[in-house]
Amino acid sequence: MPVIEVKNLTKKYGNTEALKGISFNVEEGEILGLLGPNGAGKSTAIDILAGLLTQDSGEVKILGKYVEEAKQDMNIVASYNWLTGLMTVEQNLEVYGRLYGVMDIDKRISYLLGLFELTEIKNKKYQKLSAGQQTRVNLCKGLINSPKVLLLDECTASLDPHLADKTRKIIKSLKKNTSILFTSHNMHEVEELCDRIAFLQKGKIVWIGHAKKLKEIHKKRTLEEVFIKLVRDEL
Amino acid sequence: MKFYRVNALILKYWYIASRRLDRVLDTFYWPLIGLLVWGFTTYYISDLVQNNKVVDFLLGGAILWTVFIIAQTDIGIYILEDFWSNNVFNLFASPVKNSELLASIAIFGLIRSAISFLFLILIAYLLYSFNLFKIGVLFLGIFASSLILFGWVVGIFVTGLIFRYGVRVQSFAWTIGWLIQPFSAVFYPLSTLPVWLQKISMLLPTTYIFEGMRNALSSYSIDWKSLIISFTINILLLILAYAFFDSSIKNAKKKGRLTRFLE
Ligand SMILES: Nc1ncnc2c1ncn2[C@@H]1O[C@H](COP(=O)(O)OP(=O)(O)OP(=O)(O)O)[C@@H](O)[C@H]1O
Ligand SMILES: [Mg+2]
Repeated sequence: MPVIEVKNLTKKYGNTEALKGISFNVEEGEILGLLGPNGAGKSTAIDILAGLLTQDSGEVKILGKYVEEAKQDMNIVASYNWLTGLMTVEQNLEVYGRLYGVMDIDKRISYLLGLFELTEIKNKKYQKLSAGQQTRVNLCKGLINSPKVLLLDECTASLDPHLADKTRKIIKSLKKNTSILFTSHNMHEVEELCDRIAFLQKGKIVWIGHAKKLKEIHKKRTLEEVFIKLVRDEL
Repeated sequence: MKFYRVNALILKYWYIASRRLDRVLDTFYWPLIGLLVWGFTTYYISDLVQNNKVVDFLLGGAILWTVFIIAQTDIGIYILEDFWSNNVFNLFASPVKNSELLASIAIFGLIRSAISFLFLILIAYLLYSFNLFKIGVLFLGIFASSLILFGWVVGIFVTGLIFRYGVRVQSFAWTIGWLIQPFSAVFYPLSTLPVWLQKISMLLPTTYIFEGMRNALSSYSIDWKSLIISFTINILLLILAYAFFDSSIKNAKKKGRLTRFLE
């Protein structure tokens, strides 16, 4: 049984058709990359999967359940959303740990803070952190409940090369227990991390499969070249 | 409803409140200022009219009004905090249920208004030798409960408005309570109002409580029937407010208002 099952999802904002009936699955232990130009509908799809947005039609099943019932085993990290600015890093993580019913919270928090090199600033207010530090705290929040399903929407934005590389390794190491839906505009990152990719354009999936295959079809060396070709052909 | 999630949110409000001077001011300073102004005005008036019941009525009204206003504003303000820090997204992605969200803020508001309430009773006693407890702990508890309940009703309604229309309606969170003050017979009896206004006032649960308070202060008796009416109106409005809140969240999820910062 696929861990994430999406069938014929559509969503309109007023007159904007953000999703025009997309379907895909994410299998156990798989990382699926959701690619596409700005405004293609990636975040819209992820927000629906996270239960933050209601689709107009179509169905989403996560771990065989509707989103509302699966939230305990999911988490999301999106670059465009923050934690509570007035609270410290540690307080934010504590609150989310409790919301997700994490068992040994203190241990989990100190493990994650160590992993993302945040231990030294754990008592700093979230609003005083640099963009990259906030991004890493968001990642800690995303992993706080050891989710079985993780939605990552441009979650590596603003990380320096060292931390971006480290974060990719961490994400890769999650694969054993976690299925991941991943968006990024960094094609290098996508190639390194994703088992398969789904290419979204104007609210439709125009291609889904292995990156290698996609490169072969379009006779390009890198995913970046394929991306540019696909987008420019459309124009 | 899972209590550990309600707890987690209460912990969050506590972390925020303890870091914000304005929240401390809300609990002690502003209610105190209100009480002082009323206290001295009242003393002056009671001298003029040679009637010391005036002190009891006006101070009792001022103190009980605070209980309502704090319970009411807290609900809106702590939700707004999540909008201001753009945290609504993460909050709603978590397993939190609407009922847990409201329960946590309601409980936090209850604690905060109870603290202000006792603080004001103490100050009124020290400064003006006015002991609100003389109407009896039980009655006082009942009055305060009804006011807190109505504070929740109004607060939940405002929160629904915020989810529906965004933070541009945020000032309602602080002002809506004051809109109903003139019709709640806080400082003057219901009979002072024109007859047509009395009819509106009688739809508000607050009116029965302030009338009841004056009754209790002057004759130490309670009109149970009006208390039951007050609680009944409260329960009905609570159900309506909750339904409105719930549908506002559904609407926000449809329109994508939980995922982008609200204008
Ligand atoms: N809350 C909203 N209200 C109205 N329109 C919206 C809203 N959110 C997204 N849209 C529109 O829906 C379309 C898809 O947006 P979405 O954010 O899903 O794109 P995306 O693929 O994530 O793009 P990006 O790469 O820039 O993040 C865009 O045309 C966008 O303008
Ligand atoms: Mg996006």
